[in-house]
Amino acid sequence: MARYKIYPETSFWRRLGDPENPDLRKTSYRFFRSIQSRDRIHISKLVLLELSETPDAEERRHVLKRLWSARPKMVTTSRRAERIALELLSAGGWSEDVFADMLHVSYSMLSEVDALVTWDHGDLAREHTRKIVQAYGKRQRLSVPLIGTPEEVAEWLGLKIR
Amino acid sequence: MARPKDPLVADVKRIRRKISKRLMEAHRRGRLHEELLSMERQGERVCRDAINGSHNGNGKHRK
Repeated sequence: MARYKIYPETSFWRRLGDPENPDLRKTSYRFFRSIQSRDRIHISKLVLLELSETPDAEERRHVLKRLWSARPKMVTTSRRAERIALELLSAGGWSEDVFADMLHVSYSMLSEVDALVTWDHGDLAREHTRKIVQAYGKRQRLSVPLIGTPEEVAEWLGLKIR
Repeated sequence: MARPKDPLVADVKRIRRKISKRLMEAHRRGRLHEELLSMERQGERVCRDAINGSHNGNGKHRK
C-alpha cells in the first residue's frame, strides 16, 4: 500500500480537541489513526503559531500531545514560501485576510505532500481554490497537493476511516 | 444550501486573519520574513510551554 505525505493544517488539529462536534472529531481521529503510523505527517511552525492561540489551554495541550505523538516533519520557513503565498493571493484575487491560508498551501506545495487536510470548507477545501492552486502550480512547475476535508482526502487516497 | 457555520473553523479563521494582517503590514515595510520568523518562534515557545517543556518543538523528546 502506498505511503503518503500529508499536511494537516490547524483546523484539523484543533478538531481533535473539539468538544462541540463529536461526529467531526471522531472522523478526525479515524483519519489521524489511519495516517499516524504508516504515512508521513508534515506540519509548519505556522501551525504551531495558530495552535498557540487556541483559547482553551487544556484543549491546546491535548491537541499538541496528539500532534507530537505523530512525530511530524517540520516544513522549513523560507522566503520562497512567502513569495509563493503572495503570488497565490494575487492569482486568486483574494484579500490579504487569507495570506496565512496561502502560506499553508505554499508550505504544502514546497514540501511536496500528497494532500493538505483541512476542515475549512469556506476558503481552502473548495473547488475555486483548488483550481487556482492547480493552475498556479502548473505554471510554476510546482507539486500541487490535493486539498480537502479528512473525508474527501481519505476517499481520494483510498484510506479507510469508516 | 449554505453550509452551517462551524465555530471551530470560525475561530481558526479569526486567528489566521489576525496573523495575516500583521504579516501583510510587515510585508509593506519589507520585513515579512523577519516578522514571520519572529511570530513562529513565539508560537513554538508557547506550544513548548503548553506541554510542560517535555518536547523541544521539533517533534523530538528532550533527553
